[in-house]
Amino acid sequence: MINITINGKRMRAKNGETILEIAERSGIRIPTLCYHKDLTPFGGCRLCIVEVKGRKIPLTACTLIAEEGMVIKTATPRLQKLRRFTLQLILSEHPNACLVCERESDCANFQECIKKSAVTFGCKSCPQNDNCELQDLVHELDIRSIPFQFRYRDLEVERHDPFFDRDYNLCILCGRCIRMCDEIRQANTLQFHHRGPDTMVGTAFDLPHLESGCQFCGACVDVCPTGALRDRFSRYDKPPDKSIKTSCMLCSIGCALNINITGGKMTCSTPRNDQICVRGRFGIAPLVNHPKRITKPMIRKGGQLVEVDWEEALEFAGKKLKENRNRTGMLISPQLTTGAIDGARSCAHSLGARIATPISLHSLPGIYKLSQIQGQVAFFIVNTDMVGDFAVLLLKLRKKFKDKAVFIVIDATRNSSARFADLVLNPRPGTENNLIRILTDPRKILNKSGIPAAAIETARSLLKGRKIYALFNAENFIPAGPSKSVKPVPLHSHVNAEKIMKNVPNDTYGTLLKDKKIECLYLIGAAPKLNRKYNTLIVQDLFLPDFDCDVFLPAAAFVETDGSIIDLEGKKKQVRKALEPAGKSRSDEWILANLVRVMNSKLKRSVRAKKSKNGQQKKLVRPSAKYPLQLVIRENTYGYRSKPLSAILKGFDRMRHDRYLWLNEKTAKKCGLQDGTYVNVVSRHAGFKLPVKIDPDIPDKTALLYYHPSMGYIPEEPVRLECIK
Amino acid sequence: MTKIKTILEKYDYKKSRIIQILNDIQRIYNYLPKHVLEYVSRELRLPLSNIYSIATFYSAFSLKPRGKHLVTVCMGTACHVRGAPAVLSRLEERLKIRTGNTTEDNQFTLKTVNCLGACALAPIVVIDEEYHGQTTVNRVDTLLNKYAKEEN
Amino acid sequence: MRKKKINREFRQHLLVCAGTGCVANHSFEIKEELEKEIVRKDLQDEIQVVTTGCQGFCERGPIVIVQPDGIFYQRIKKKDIPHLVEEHLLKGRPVNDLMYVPAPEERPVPKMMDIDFFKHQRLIILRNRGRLDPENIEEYIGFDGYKAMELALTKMSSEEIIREVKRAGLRGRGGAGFPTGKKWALCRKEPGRIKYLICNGDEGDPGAFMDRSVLEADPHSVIEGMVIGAKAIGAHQGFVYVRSEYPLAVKRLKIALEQAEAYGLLGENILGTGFNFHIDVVQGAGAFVCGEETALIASIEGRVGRPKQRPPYPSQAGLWGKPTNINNVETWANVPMIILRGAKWFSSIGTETSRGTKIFSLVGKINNTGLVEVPMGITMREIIYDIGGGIPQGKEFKAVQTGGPSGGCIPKKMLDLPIDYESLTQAGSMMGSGGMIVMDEDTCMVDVARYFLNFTQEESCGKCPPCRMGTKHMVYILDRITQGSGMPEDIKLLESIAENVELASLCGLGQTAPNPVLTTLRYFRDEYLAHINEKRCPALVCKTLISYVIDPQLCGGCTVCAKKCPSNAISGEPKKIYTIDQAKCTKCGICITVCPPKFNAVKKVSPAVK
Repeated sequence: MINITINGKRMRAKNGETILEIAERSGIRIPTLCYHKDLTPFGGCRLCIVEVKGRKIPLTACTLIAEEGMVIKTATPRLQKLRRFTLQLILSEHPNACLVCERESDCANFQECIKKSAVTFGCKSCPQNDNCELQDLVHELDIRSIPFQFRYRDLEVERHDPFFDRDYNLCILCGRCIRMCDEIRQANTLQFHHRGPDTMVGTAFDLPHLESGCQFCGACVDVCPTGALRDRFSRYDKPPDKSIKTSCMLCSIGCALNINITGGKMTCSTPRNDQICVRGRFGIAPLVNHPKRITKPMIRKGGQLVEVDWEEALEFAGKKLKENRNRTGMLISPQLTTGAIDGARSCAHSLGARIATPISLHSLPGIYKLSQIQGQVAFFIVNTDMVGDFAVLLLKLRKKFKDKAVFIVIDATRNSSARFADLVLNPRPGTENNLIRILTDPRKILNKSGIPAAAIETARSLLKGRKIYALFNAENFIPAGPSKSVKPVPLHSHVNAEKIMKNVPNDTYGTLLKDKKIECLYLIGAAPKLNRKYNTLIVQDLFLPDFDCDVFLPAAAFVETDGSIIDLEGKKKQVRKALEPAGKSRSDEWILANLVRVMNSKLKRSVRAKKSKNGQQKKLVRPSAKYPLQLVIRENTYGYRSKPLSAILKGFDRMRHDRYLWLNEKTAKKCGLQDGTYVNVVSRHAGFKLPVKIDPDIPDKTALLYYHPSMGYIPEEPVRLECIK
Repeated sequence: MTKIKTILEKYDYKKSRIIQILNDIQRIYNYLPKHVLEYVSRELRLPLSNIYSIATFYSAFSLKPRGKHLVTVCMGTACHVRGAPAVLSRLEERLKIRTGNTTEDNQFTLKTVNCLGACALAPIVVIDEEYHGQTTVNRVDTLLNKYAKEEN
Repeated sequence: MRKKKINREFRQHLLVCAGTGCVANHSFEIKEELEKEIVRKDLQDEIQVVTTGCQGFCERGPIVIVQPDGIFYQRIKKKDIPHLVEEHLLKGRPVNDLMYVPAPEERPVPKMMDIDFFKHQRLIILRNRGRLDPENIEEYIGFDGYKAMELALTKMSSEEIIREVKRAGLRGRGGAGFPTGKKWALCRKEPGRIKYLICNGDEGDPGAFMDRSVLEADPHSVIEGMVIGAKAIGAHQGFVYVRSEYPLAVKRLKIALEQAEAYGLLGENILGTGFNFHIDVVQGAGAFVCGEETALIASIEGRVGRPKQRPPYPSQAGLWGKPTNINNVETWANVPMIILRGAKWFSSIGTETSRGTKIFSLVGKINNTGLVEVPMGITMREIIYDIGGGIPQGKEFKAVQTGGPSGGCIPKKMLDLPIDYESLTQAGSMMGSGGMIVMDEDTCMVDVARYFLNFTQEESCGKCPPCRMGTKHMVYILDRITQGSGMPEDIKLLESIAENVELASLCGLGQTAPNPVLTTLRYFRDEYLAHINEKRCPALVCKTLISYVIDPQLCGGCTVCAKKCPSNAISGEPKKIYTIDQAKCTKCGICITVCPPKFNAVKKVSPAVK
């Protein structure tokens, strides 16, 4: 412990504490701008300067580590003068019209419409009005005028990237976004460039964020103290009046979210404790508020879907289900509350219906536990885009091991984890297990992977003396038998996967849809491509499916219900109702309970599911002359219930081209294809049409597809491309 | 890329030597091409945003192709008091470009430097590493003509 | 350790200066031509031609010195060589025409040591300049080279070395003048086995080139100093950071390092004492701010040169977080002499607070431009007039700028100021790296202030608002003043911004950036007032405030100016009076330089004519 004096008061400090930290915990206010408690101190804005006895020049409190006997003053007239000077300088390059205007208080009505103007010239036209740290400091330091010539940088507002706008006319160069992106998110997208008065924040070569490795997690937007970075969806909304905690249901990690609500409308979701990903940050509010969302129950009458009330809809659905007893199939999305899943099981049981989920038969069961990964480690990232699919999990891993872990990507196709991995290996599709054996088994094994010997040697030397864990999305890879040297860590991207694999009979959409006995389908958050007619189709979801249905029961979004989920660690998490369900929509649990009531069924006890034969290897068929291109399938983890996010939310379609067929330049040229051209894809058992996306990281003779059940049945087998005339 | 590989090997693929690496690259290409920087970023495991940040911070580096002849005017204090600003203006007029740019025919790039440390020869203009001391404003034309003549 | 004397079989040596300045003046060609001529006259067994580092008298390059005669030849051209070899080397008759003449009416001064420029200097750091080939370690060794290092490594403890340097009173020669011994002691006492030593050769001050000269002329003196420092502090790895604009210095340094390692004087197990110390050369890339310690460290680490707030100081946590000691080139070059000849000897030179000598680069409006090493305490007047030979063309001395962009100007009334750290700081300037830029009546002090602030703006790293934007607003105001739109409030505004920038900036660059403005306001306020109130530039420099006119009474109608005018602004008829069209005139200044001296008709006037 150290003794220091601040403003005449003696205090004790721990070794290594900065003056700012000591001041904050003692209730002494020191103004800051570039400081953020989670990021390394920068000392750039010069607002937190304090007087230190024995020194002529004031020093920044955020960087100054306390030393025995230091005497500090935090609020002298000289400091106030210097702080005002610095803030005035910052404002001389930041649109400041409203900040020092005498008419500020009676401007309220006028600015509602001018806020939507293209140019921010002052607070009233800025999206962050009343939510801006610069505004707060100006009021705190009581600045009435700015004696410097104002310079407007006259930069165009960058709007071409998805999800957030960047208005660098408002940037004050505090560097928080850079430090957040570098230190915490480790995406390294942003940096200062140029020097002196031309210094600016941006990406390399001013390329769009889409091309600079940005994960669109929104962390930079959340630390920006001004309106320079702003969430596009909520930029005209006032700051929230309510913030409700919930768990995200868009993937199995279940991050803690704050659901921000202004005047009863959800404006955005932000991280509560830790980090979140692009889905949780930008995928929820526009989804909940989507104009195409159906919020009234509907029944097909006379060839058209007609709005009805709940009783009528439930009666009709119940009648149809009872008529089709023992001939009904229920397809449910895992993205339901556990209560809804249980309700669906009971309903299925009382109807004698088969029940199916999109979790494939092959995927390995397992719970992820970070605490079980210890020591000198190396990770194989197999067939899984960790950065895209499990960003938050990856961050926790990298944080735990810092620079001490080795990451090797093993993927037959492109993988954005290559950006940070120590080594990237692209084996031929289907030979991943062979490659893993070669890398870890000291005996001589025939190399079928196509990886050259030099790369194998490099990999082996990286792995020396390390415990090896194989991380993989359980839908994309099945490890070969038990191995002493490699511990498989299957990751399920679906929330509630563990519950489903334990409690729900192992039917997939595919097997259920092949069942000719089934005449009626009850789809809860599911809308796979159907290949025949059914006498009744009941859809319970937020959006209409791509096919005609007979009954539509509008479901509430997960932020509009209470319930629980099981995350990929097997932990139970709470989902909270942050706002009233839109329109007449209701929670799945409510709908199921009332459906059962209307059918007058007695809820029977659920039957234990058969032990699933998971983990069987898939046999990969080799390409032939007729089907020369190997189709590589990866699960599209960006979806909510029946829809891939890219199908309903602008922005997701641009950052994840998941309804495209990915080819490299060479392959595309052979068929005369360009970016965006549609092509017919034909395999032995399937045929479909998709636009093309050209990417240099796709290996020769392969094509990549991010698969979502709404695409229908697409087996992972060789294909050929046919041009569309 | 073999030339680049050689450079990276020379510095042991050390990230901390990036400034020296960029210097060597610029010697070969006369500027820093984007595709080369992307390659270096991958090989060194150094984010491209960092490399770009370094390339734009240090004034020795150019991200745009430079002309065949690099004309550097020293703007150090000694040169300044001996008339360097007039020399620079005259060069801008003759070459019809602003400082920092390259002529349309790609022959000359004009830039300034803040003191070469050869103050006795002020004002100094360096063309392609050759020092031309005492280049006052009325000697600019003669100097440029010499290079133009060499072209023909 | 080997000791080799200079080869005595030659009867004479020709020392050709090969510092950057003379090289730019084709001194290598002079050397080749000399060698060829000597062979032609069959003198190659009697006379050796050697290239040396910078002699310091750059104004008079290319320079050839004949030893052991001590005869100094200057401004040698290729065509002079046959005559020189024939007369002096064959016939023993020194050539007067090629010698230094102080003023046209005076007699030539044959011997180097009689020339004013040299005789007032006291060479300690530059002791070896001009007398050895920097690319040959044997010559350095021959002049007691590495003897001090041997002493330090074999007979002294680290504490003793530090004590000696402290007693000598050596202060940092890079600018701030921090006591070197104290700095070393601070680094030494830090715990940890890994420590680093850095030599700051980023000499960014415009007008300063002493570090370059030392590295080009006598790199071993720096290396020797660093090894001694390494022993004192306990470091085993050192770096010399040289700015990218000094390719010759880098080359000479690398050769010296190779040779030192080959001779067992650097690297593993130096002199068999078991002490290891390696030195790497790191080049800068065009950023003045990298002369600041924390920015320099960032640059060596491969990052952008943005300074960090200190504390923690580099001596506590520097390069890669380890205790690091940084000293300037000149500081390191002083160390061997202090160890060899003792602190008592060193502290007998200079003043009470500023011991030893300092190298100054004397440049600008001065007759004898070059590098001089003088004892601290010498007056400004002595340097400018006795050594510098006064102002060329008989112009009036106005001021001398010291300390570069961090310093200030010393006006005529303070010419008798003794040069040491304290008195310069009190006068509002600072010692800085030792650049001395002499200004005469034709220099506009407001323009000088604007020049320096512009420089600081360009070189600012951009991290903190006070420097990044404070200096910019000062430049805006100075631009206005020099362009004729100055307002009475501007001076007060300048002063208040200056005061704030000084206190609120993060690093030395910003904290000292306002100095040039503050000193010019202090000593030349009247010039500012003339610019603002009368739109007049007294020195006739600021383009917007001057006009070029042809005096009709003096014009001889020779047509030269009209022909040379690049904007076709001069019109007239041969043998008649010519006039300048003010609307077309771009004020390039060519006409005034080409008007024949017998007419001298083109004049500058201020305020500008309409």
